[in-house]
Amino acid sequence: MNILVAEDDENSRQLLETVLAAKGYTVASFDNGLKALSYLHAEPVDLIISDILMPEMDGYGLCRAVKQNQSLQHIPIVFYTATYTSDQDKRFALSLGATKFLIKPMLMPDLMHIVDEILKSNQPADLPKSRGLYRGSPLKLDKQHADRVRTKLDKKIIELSEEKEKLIESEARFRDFAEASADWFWESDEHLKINAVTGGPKGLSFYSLTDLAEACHSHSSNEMLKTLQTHKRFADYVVHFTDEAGKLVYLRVSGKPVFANNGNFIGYRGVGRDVSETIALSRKVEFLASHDELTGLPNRSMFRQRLEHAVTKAAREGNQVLLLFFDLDHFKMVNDTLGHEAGDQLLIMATKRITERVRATDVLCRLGGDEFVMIMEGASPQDGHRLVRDIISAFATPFEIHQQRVYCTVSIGVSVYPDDTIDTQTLLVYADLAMYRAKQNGRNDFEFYTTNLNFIAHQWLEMEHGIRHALKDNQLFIVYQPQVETINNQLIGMEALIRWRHPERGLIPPLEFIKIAEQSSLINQIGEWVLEAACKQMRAWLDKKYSVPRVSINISARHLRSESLIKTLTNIPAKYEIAPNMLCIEITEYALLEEADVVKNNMRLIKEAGFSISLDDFGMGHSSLLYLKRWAVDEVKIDRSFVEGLVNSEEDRVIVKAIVALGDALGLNLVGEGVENQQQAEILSASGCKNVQGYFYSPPLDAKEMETWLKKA
Amino acid sequence: MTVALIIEDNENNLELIRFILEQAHYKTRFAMSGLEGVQQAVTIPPDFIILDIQLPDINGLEVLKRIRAHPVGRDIPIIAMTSYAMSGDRERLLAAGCTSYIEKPIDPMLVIQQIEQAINKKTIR
Repeated sequence: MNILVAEDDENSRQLLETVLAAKGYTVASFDNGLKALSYLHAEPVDLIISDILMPEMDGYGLCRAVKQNQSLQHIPIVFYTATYTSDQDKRFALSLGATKFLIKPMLMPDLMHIVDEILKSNQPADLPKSRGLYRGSPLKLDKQHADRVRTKLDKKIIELSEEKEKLIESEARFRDFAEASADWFWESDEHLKINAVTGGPKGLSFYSLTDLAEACHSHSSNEMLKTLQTHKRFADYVVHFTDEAGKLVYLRVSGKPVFANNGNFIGYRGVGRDVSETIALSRKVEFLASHDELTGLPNRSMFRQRLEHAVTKAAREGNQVLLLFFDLDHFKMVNDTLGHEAGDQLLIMATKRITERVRATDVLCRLGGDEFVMIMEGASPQDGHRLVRDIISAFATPFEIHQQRVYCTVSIGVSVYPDDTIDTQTLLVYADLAMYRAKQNGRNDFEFYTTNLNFIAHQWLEMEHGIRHALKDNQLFIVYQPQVETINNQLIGMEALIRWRHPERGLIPPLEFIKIAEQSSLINQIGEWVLEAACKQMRAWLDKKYSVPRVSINISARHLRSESLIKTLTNIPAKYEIAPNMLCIEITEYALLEEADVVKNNMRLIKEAGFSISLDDFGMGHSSLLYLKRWAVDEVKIDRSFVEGLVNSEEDRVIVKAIVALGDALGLNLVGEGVENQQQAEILSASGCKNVQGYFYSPPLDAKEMETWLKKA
Repeated sequence: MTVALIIEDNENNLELIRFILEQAHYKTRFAMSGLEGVQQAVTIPPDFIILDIQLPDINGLEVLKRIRAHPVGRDIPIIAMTSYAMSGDRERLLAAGCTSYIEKPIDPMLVIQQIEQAINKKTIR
């Protein structure tokens, strides 16, 4: 029996060749229909087994050609295909005249069986059936039986193909569902490492479920970890991770454990969804619910929470909390006159002016309308007072709204926890009441709820007014304290010191008003005033042909931060023709604490301009030897507290000696401050400190008295 | 755009002045009482003020003084309007810092000229 095999897949072809040959058939095989057909024309063939999908001429083409050829059409054709497997394909194949339509793969004995059957039924019954090696008992089937078997087989094949079709359809359905869904799918191995993701954010497979559990939002990390470790199902856990682009992505994941047939856990399968937008949206909703839309400040409900929180914390730490109640003066009029849009604009600008001046920890909230409140944690009434004044003065500049200047002032009330009350509600009422009093004062003002604080705060304000007047009305004057070389009592310099004679209160101690002036730029004005007065006096002395020693001028920490300082320092002495080397700028260590660029710059410029620099109160507080080196200081003034201790304290003696040794080593000029008696002077001298200043030598003198010293010199 | 603040309690007069000023392309705002007028002048300062002397709450002279006493209102041109043009009034108003003076009844054809003269006088000074 000759069997022709047309099959382009080499493996398939070889398998068929081998099996058929083993059964005793002669096999001719070809890898396309065209070659097969030309063989058919040349050689007798009893059966054709053909694939459908082949190059050159496919199985259908071959079948058509065979069935149309008179001499070949009797040859039965069996299609054996893996590609065209649908019912439609089958019907088509059979309509072309194929005897059988078989779907790959089949068990070879089954295939052989069918081949045998076909050949048998296509042959006269007396021909020998088999010459092969087939060991099973030869089948003796009559045609009827064979037909029955064939029908059964056909039926089975149809059933199988229907089933397959259903599966394909079902798979397609689920694929559609999956594609339509925003969810995507993932799988993990038994170690919870995510190893397959279809769709979804990139980079997730670098993570394990354990990593995700660490970043669980909807549940606690422990809860999710426990679920995973016990191989339980989980649903709608929200986690975050960083995707490949470095973006934080929020995911909602659900997972189901998967177990092998033997019951072993082999991993999770689940779905996930990117919920970043939802989370962002809900955060925005949350923000809007707790913040004022116009200004972006916390709103009333948020304010309550923050105040409760602040008060609880302050109670625990024993701190004060200040509550400031702001109300814009005549806001309604602006709103009515210029319109709501302008009113809103004003609120935004006012918010900006306030927030620019507050500390980072202060919480400003908008209660509604033109009412604002601010919580100052860990602040003293003095801090509050300073800020309130700063804000009030910030409102003195008009706002520019729709090309219209608007002068809007602010009235502020302040209450203090726990001094005024420990109840947060009452605290707000008190701040409101205080604000109301400020309005009654004529607006553009502040009030503390507590009368006493109010008194202090307003006294402070009065003092400031007083200083302003003093600067204008010549109530200030300068005294000079001589600095002396101990060996020969020779005058080597003098320190210019400010004094204030108030027309009603008399002499006001410098400590009292300097402290207040330092809170504002008033101290700069005082510094300038002293410089000018001193230079003027020096010029007068010089004109009288006195030999004038170096004069020391104090410059405050605040002034040292001023951009315009160097201009003042160069212009004023020049005006009186005083050379910079006749002046010494005294700076406290405290002023150098803040290493702002402007401070560094000013120090450099002072030095470059030719002034000498003296470090005042050396040894107090923040002494750092670094200052001496970094700032190229010329002189160090040993603080009076050490000088005071010289007689009785061995420690102070040691410290002074150390400072002197250090100063000598660095080539610094040393001045002992506050020398009040002979003993102190002697010890200082013995320690190597040659220059001194203090009541023992001379109290500060007015210019006239100073002249007697100058004459001596 | 130049903004005028009209302080006037009589609605008819107010409307007339507004009409005239707006015809001359001024932007107008108004206050119908003295206190409101002072407040507006110093909060949202206009380029000039037309001030009626007879007002329900505080009289025009007082309004004038209060505006002049305020740092914001010190330099705003103020043109007073009054129907009892006695020389004493005129002197009191000018002494209190009034820039110029227009007598009622006003002449709609002339009033703009009078106002602009007053503003210009101020500018030159």
